[in-house]
Amino acid sequence: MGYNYDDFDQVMDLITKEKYDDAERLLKSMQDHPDQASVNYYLAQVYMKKGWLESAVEYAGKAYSAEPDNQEYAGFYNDLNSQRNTAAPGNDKSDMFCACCCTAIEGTDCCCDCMDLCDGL
Amino acid sequence: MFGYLQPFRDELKMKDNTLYKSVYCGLCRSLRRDYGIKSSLTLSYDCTVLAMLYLSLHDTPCNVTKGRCTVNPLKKCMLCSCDGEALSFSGAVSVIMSWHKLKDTMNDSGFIKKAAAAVLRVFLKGNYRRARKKYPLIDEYTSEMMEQQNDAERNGAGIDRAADPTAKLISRLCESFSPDAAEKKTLAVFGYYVGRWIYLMDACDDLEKDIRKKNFNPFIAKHGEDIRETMKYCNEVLNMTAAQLIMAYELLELHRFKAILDNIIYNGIPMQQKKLIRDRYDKRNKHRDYYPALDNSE
Amino acid sequence: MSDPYKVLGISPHASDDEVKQAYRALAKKYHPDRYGESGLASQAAEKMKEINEAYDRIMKQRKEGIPYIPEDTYSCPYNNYSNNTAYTNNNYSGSQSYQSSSSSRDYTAIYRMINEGRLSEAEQILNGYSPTERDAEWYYLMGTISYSKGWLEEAFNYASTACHMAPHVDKYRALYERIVQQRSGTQGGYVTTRGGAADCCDCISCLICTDCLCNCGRCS
Repeated sequence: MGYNYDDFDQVMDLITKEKYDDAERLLKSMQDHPDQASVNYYLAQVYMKKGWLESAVEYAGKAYSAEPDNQEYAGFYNDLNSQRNTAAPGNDKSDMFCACCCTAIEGTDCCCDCMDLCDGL
Repeated sequence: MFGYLQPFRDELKMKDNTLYKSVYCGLCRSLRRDYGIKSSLTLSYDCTVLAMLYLSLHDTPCNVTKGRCTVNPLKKCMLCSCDGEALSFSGAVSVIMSWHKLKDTMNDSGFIKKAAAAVLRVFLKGNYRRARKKYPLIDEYTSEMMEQQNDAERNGAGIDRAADPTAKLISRLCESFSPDAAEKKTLAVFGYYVGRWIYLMDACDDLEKDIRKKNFNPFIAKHGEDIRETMKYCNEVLNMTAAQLIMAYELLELHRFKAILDNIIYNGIPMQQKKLIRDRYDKRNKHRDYYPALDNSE
Repeated sequence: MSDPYKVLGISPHASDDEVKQAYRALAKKYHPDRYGESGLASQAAEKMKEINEAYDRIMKQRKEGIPYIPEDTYSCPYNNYSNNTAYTNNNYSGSQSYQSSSSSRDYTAIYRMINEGRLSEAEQILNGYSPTERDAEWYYLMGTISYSKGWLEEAFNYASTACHMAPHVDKYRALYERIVQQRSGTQGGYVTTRGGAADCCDCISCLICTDCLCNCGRCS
């Protein structure tokens, strides 16, 4: 195919040494690389390590689109997306709101002693 | 800081509620003692959580005693006190961050807010100086953060870059809670996502205002002025941040306050997201279909 | 190593299936692959190691019939005691059939019963042993049962007898020392000599119940 394994070895080396900014720079300079799927996949990995989740999702998506049959890319992209929806907090469909009515704890002491600590729910 | 990191009280046991309040009140007392009476104005829920996290990582003796409220002496309260740095460190974070935030308000806002911020700054100057003297690194990290954040916002950064400065600040603060290298790494990752979550919650909170006033908001770029779609998107981004935060949290060894911290992470965070994303926009716009917007099956 | 049941987050009386379920859930949660991208893989691996050790320890103990004794919790009286109707009816016919014709000292079944929480049955069997058959291990097992029932004085007496009869056996001494430590008050109650600082959670329960130690502002 013509691409050089050494390119990604260097990237892996930087990632192992936690030099994420350097790894990012190196990968960004590989825009003409024939294996763009791998470049994007590695970029997604680097962004995950940096905590740049949106960028990670973006590049994982690009890798997946370029090679939809690649199990690794598909798995990675789907894992990231699953954190945005189902098992993640904030999207809990259970009716938590009904439980949070302050009248449930009326008559107990807790809300009213507290120097305004319990903002009205 | 913004007060988004709170427990969901209905799920807290009475005993844990008392403990939580005792840390809050203990922090207030510690602020007044270490940095001056006015510094307790800067007290926030987020710093209470920081203090609890710090205390939970160490075995140092920590007592809860009966006392009187320093603001309202007629009121009795429980006060947490400890050997070690936890309360004075968290207090310093509180004062220093408030100080820098006020400076930011002075640069960015309308006349009245600017004036109020300026007055408060003068008011808190002595307190800030004392805190900065005791913990110069906190001040250094915070100014660096403010500068990078302003830079990012001026240049119309994306979500990750915009959240990065706040995330890095909280990461550095949390990292300093433990001397153990492995634990430091976990705390750094945990702190990073906590900071990111807080920044994004604040951005989500300000969304409508920023659209109206044409201010920078990292969430606007994707769906423009379509609030419904943007809210859905905000929730996804926050969910993912929370998922990462939880993964790091589960690796921490907590010696105390675990029930309260668990509540904050597993109940408080989703509740705050719900309040912000579902309730506020639902109430204001009375669009019942905001519920389906958060439904997975769509 | 800390309490393996606490590490897995289960009750000591959980069935083998429940132990396996808990282990699988934790293994899934802390699998280093899940943490690969966040850079916390080695911390997750450490946690996995602790979980594996806890699981191995529990399974080994159960296989060898070693009873579980909680390390830092108070014993729970009435927990497993009320189930045995034979005992509550003061019906000793069961014990007669257990009065072993051969004086077997194979206590494996007793250990298993204790682990499964069948304390009254185990006690009934042990009570069937004649006084001459009661060796140090008998006293140790009776001590364990009494401790779990909450009959702490009895537990203390049994444990000290076991230690006396066989001072070289570590586990008898361990039980005895644990009981002695609890009697000292350092794990709850009043310490006559000023000891270590109370954890703030201990303090809270102290405050609520006794309005005690902490009026001074510093109780370490």
